[in-house]
Amino acid sequence: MSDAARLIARLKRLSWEKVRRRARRTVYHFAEDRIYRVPVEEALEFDEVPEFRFDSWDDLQTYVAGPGESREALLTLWRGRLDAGEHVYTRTENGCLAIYGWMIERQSSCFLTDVRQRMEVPDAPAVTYDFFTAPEFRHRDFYPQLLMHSLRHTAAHVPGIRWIYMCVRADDTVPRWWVERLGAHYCESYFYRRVLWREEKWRG
Amino acid sequence: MEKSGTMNPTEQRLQAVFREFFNDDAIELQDGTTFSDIRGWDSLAHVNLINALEVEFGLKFGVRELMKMKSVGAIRQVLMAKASAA
Repeated sequence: MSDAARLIARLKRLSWEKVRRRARRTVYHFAEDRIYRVPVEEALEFDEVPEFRFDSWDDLQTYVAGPGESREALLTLWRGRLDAGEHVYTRTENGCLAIYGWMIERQSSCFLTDVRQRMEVPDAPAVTYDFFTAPEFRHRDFYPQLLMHSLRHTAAHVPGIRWIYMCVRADDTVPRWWVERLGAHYCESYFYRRVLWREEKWRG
Repeated sequence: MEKSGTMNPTEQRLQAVFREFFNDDAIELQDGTTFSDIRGWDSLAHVNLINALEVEFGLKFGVRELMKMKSVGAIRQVLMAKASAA
């Protein structure tokens, strides 16, 4: 296929809604990352869910890539995380990876990609991040189950931590609702705003 | 859950919330009604529906109750249990 034909095929796939969203994002973009934390003693009150597995490479390998995704690239990323000492909670259904979520035992700083800022956290707490539910397994409450399970498991198995931190995008309505309903304590937000080429970053 | 004529007041209010929330007066709730039976009942709608139920019934659901509320029957049972405990 020639470059021109490829371009035409790509333009045909674009809906007006997508064009409008992309144009708007070119002119204006705003993001807020909200930071929450749960004290270990509160996390220990949640229930563990036996269907979830810990650090299961076998489970990760059952991931079915979505359109435009590279399964190999993801598996390489995940292998690297496990080799670096990070941990993963997984659940499979019918031989497919239904949901996963990652945890780092001790983290003193991390880069928040959405808002392009580095966050420093005191006392090197555990951090949970990158939770994902495969589309065909949504609406089954796997997310809140994993959230509670991972908090409880982390609190019970990582020695010496006082807090478990997590970050949720403000416009990620459902995860944010569950995090807040679980009683996670809101700490602060990190913001990013771009109008044309002018960027602003702040926290508060 | 019984047909509309024989519903108790809690069930009637529950059905009214569903009808208003999903903008569909034809909704007839059954205990077995779940996400897949009502158009638009996805996870975002679900959290907003829970918020609407809390406003309508003037209560707050706990996490363990929220985890159970996956069908109309389960929602009804949680509501009845909270009503009788109040």
